[in-house]
Amino acid sequence: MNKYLDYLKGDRVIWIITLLMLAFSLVSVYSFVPILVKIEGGTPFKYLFKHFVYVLIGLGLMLWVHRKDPKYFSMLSKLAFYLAVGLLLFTFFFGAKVNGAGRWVSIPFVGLTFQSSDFAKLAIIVYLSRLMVKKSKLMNDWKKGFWPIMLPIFIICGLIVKDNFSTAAILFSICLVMLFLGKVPFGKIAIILGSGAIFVACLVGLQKAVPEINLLPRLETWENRILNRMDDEKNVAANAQALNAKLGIYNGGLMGQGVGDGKLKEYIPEAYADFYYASFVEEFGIISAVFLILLYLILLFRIIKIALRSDKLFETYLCIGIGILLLSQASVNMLVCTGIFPVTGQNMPLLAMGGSALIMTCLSIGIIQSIAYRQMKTTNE
Amino acid sequence: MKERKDIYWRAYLIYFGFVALMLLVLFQTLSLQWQDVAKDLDLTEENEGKIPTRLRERIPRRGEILDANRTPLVTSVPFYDIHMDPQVVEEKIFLEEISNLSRELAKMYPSMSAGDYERYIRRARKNGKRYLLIKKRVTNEERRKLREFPIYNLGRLKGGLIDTDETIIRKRPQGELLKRTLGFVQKNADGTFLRVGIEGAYNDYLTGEKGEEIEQKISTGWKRTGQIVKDAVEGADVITTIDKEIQEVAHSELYRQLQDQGAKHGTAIVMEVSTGHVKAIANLKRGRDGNYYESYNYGIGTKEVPGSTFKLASLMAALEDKKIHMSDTVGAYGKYTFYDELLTDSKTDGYGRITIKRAFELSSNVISRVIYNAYRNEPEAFVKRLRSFGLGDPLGIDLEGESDPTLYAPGSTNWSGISLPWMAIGYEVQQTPLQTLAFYNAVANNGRLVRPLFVSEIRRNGQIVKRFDPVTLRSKICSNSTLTALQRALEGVIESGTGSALKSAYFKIAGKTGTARVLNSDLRYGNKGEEKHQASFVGYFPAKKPIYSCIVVITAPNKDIYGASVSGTVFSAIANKVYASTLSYHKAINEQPRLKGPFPKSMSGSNDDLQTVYRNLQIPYSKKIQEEWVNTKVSDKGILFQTRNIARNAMPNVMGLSAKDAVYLIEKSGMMASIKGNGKVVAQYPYAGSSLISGGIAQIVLK
Repeated sequence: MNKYLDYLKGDRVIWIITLLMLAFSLVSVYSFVPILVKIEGGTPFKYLFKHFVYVLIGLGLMLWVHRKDPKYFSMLSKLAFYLAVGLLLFTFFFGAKVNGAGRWVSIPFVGLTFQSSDFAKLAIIVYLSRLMVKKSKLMNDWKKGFWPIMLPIFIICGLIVKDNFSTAAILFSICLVMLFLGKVPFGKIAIILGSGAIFVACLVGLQKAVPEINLLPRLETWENRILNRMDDEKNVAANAQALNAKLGIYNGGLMGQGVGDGKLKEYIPEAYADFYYASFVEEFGIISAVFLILLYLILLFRIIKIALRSDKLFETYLCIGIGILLLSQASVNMLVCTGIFPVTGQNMPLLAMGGSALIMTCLSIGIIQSIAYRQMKTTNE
Repeated sequence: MKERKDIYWRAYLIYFGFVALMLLVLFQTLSLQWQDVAKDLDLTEENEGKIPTRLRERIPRRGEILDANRTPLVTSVPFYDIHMDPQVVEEKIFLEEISNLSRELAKMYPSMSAGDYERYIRRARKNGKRYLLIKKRVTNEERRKLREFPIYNLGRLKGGLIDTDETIIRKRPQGELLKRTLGFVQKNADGTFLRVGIEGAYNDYLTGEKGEEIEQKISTGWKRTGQIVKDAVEGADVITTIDKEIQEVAHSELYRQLQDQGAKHGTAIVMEVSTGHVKAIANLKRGRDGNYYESYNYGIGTKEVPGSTFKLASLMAALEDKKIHMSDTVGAYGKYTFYDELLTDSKTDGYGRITIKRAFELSSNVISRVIYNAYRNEPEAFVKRLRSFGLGDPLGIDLEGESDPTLYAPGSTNWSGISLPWMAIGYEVQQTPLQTLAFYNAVANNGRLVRPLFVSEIRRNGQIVKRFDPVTLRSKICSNSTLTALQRALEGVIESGTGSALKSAYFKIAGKTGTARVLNSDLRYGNKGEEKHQASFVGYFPAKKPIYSCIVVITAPNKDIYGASVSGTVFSAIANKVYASTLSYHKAINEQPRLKGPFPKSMSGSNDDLQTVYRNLQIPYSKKIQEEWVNTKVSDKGILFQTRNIARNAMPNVMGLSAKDAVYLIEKSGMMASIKGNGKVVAQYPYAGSSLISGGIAQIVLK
């Protein structure tokens, strides 16, 4: 047994949290899928099995990656970036549609779907970490330092924004936080943001004026989500998802309804993913929710510890970038469920059902562990 | 080092940023507990528990009403209103499939063309309609087909098919048949219920019990949770005593006669003698359009003077009180005066001196004289005796609306000097047709008066909930000697009396005719030519071993007034058909199987067919052969089956077969058959085994 445990290198706390959450995801996915069964057919077991396959793939990937030397990540980052752009372009033209958004590529023969943006998120963070190290001395130069860093961000976010505004916006914010970490000058960012805002306003204006060009096909959905939130007292029925999520939390109480006994999961669409937190509180209660939040915060804390312990700037940026990525998804999911944020589709990392997101999360944690492992090796030597 | 420090504080700033976010989440999670979230959703309904719920009634299926052979007489059929939500269908699918869907719709409901359907749905989609009516009141079968249609086969969430609006409609598969007796339940304006017929009488059984189920409020409306607080009890099925076949006969025969006679209304009731089971009850009334409808239950609801049919009761009383003998002779001279009132016979110069039995058979009104003489000093004894037959009491049937019979007592304000003789011949008393029938039924049933029953069982899911056994009202209304004498007299009515036209070659009928003048709507008998008559015939059959009793009453016939010709015809038509169609009356011609030879000539032919024939004729045969076609040979032990070779892909061997089998085989081989003679095939050309000529003619000779 110890031999197997010895195989797991890197940070032990992160290992425990990761495995605990993955194991728990099996329970919760099984419990939360009834709505999917209702809409798509099949049995809960079918979805559990599918999820289980993803967990296995994720675990395998994590184990494989964490033994690699982190320097490879830096080397591969440029390739990953181009791959991400390629995938996004492919999705853009050939992707399958879910809820009116073309975000998915289906992988032939396996019957699984893959959300390109999940891969793109990780790719841009790795690539950005590398760029920030490389250009750290040239940041103040528009042409040589600033633009080369900003351009990949714009490309990726620009490709995602058409079909998934919220993911693009969140990813853009994550990148901004990373830029802040990398001490990219604020003045320049402000200029970029300002002009960006004007650009978006132009796009929306154009779409409104000439709807036929279909530049922003999901503009209406975005408007609905944001506007409904603004006056949710009036428009109760239309804001069904958000209210049901709130009801779920309310219904959960301190101790929860008990596993499998939640009711709103029957009515909240995506109870198993985008509204995971609401379903979770309904079935397991607020006390468990406190534990959940603590686990995430501990995870982030360990990740930052590893980041700061590293002597290589690339690893520091990468670790914190991944940490922000994971935590931002978790907190957006929670904020949406508690009604603080407008409805967006953000997964609960490590817990929710969702194939590519789960695999990418595992890969990210594998990267963290690989960095931690390298630190262990250097301190031991 | 400064760089590291910068990163340090920035990293921790980020960390605490997330801590702050998480605390916000936690705070909101907790504060949601104090906000009444449910209140936002639900402002009107009561707020029970944390999620608003309400109880919803689960209304069970109403039970069926079946005839004695379980043929449905009334049943509940669900219908569905079909709507569509055109908004939920994805654009791509909608564009691809809308014309296919419209075509299918137009095929099923041709009132609109496919193009119209397409425009209709497209317009609704464009205008944002979410509840577009496709078709009202479709059957369950049509609903199932609709679900297979393009787009609709994606289900409600993706195909927009809304087909759950159910309406349950009560249907009478037999149409007008028995309609009034089957009845209905109607809510009056004051909240009470009008309960008519069997539907009304057994309403509680038919309805079942309502169940309760919890529904939860969700954003889009109320949703069933599947939590059932109280199980609904299915409505029970009421199994009536009615025999649909007999009912059909009674209905159609009565209808025909009413139409022939242009009568106002009529009733025909058939009852099983031993049990009182009502096998048929038809009530028809002329409607404004001249057709006849089941609009009032005359059989149980209308009391009228019975007329001559009541003479049976009068004689029974006198016989029981030993006042007369049937063989006593009386002078029936056609005119009988009591005080100032005159009674006449239909044959105005009378019948001469005849026995009382003969007077009954001829329906002479001399019976009034007989009774008057017998009871003139003690009329109360007569009435008391009549009451002992049950004639003064209602039958107490389950259906609502039975009228109490009228039977005045001496000394009451309605009693007069002529009451006694008038009553003897069926005036100054009133009975419903069903009450008269019950009395005659008692005579057929050896003096046992039974209550007419309309329902034999109530079953829920096949299990008996309640059984209605025959109810004896009076076990013996008179002595056996009286019974025998009256039964003879009733047979005599048919054999040589007023009912002689009803004589049947197959079985004997016993019964009595009756013609009564009835009051017009102005409560007068009317002047000559405007009188209204009621012709009736009541009796039972077969006379010796009665199985059914039957009454036919026809009111206000136009052409004829006499019981025998107006109602008797209907009676005998019913009796003949019931007799002919009731197999249990007939003895099988050969109940002993023929096991010994000599056996009949046998043709060759189809193995299955021959086996069936010999099995049913109970002729022994050997059955070892599996082939489709066999030769047969008659032996002294039975029929022997032998292998027969039918050539394939060549002219078949049809020798010895019947024409039917031979033609079948020839045409199956692709040739045409030309037949000569009859019997079995003795010659064929081309010969068996020769090559086929497709479309050519094969000649066969039968002998």
